[in-house]
Amino acid sequence: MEPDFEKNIRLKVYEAEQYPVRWGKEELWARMEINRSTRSRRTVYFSIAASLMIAILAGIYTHQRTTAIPDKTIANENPVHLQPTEEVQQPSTSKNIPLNIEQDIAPKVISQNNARIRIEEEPYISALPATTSDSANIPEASTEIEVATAIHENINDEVSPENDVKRPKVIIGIIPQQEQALLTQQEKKKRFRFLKGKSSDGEPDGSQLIIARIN
Amino acid sequence: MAFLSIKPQPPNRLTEEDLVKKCKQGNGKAQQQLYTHYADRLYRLAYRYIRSDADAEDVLMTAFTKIFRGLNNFIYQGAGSTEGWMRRIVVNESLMWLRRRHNFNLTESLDASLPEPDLHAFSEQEAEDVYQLIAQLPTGYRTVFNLVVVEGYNHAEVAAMLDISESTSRSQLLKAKALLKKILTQEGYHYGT
Repeated sequence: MEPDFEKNIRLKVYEAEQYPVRWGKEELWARMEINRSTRSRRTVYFSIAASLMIAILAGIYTHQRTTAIPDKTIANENPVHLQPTEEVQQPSTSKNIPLNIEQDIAPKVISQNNARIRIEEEPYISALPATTSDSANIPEASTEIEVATAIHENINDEVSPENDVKRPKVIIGIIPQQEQALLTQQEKKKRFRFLKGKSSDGEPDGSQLIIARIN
Repeated sequence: MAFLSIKPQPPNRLTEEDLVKKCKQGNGKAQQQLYTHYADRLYRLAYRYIRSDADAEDVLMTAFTKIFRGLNNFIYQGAGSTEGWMRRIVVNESLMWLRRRHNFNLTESLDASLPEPDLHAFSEQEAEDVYQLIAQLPTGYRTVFNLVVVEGYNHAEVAAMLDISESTSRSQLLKAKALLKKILTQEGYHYGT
């Protein structure tokens, strides 16, 4: 328990603190007001500067996105660059047409959208059993396949059974690396022919695959 | 610091609770009223720790900035709660100021068995004299004396606030009391024990 004199001292101190005192009270309030207005003005300037910075960065980012990656633009325009939709995964008439792709199709140069892309055959792609009618319509090795842009417009278009049998279509396109994972190995074998791509200057381009879909 | 011999001003028109509410809403006039009403007391509180006019003003300015910023988190709990909350902020600011300039660990510990000086005569002084005598103590003694005797903290709390040991806090208080007794004796007051 605290002694009485300590309590007494405390009361005396509190009493003394109640007495008015002459000091720079008004000046201190004025200083506080100035500080507050300066701080608020600084906050406004900072907000404007931050907004400008964000706008500039957003502009730079948008500009880079639109100009720096032409390959992506081509891929986006190309219908072969597709998400595997249900329609694609559904069994089509082409499923019933076996082809011996590995043996019969060996395109060395493919011209696509007026740009020549050198491609090499992937030896590990398993070939499906071919029929005579199929192999007759498939271009021979080391020929150039001109792929019309129109072909690319819709990969999901079903080909009529007659056309399918008589004239298998070859659609050339690019599948980005991340989308390849969406296709199962079996789907790849059945629907697409995968070939490693080379860019126009002949350098291997590991991030891309040229695929050919057999309808 | 010059003291005036006039009585404290009457309370403002707004009640304490209304004043706090308006301050929370960002009312500038209410904030000025709060400042005007409490600034003198809080200044004297800061001066009791700092013992310098200009530094006490600086401490008070920082404290009031924190008070206005922290008002939104303050919950009014009856008459006097606002002043108690503001006093704690001013004490903390004063201690922060002192910690930057004074090493409270420099005082050696005393033998705890020493008899504690009796401050009855001291407590019988006029309020203003008590205030001035406390202000004459050296920084370490004064701070511990203020915290323990005037603010009512225990030694464990003081040790934590000043980052010192409890024994150092006790020895500082003993020395402060002994010094106060000595000052009073020198000034001709009769002192018991």
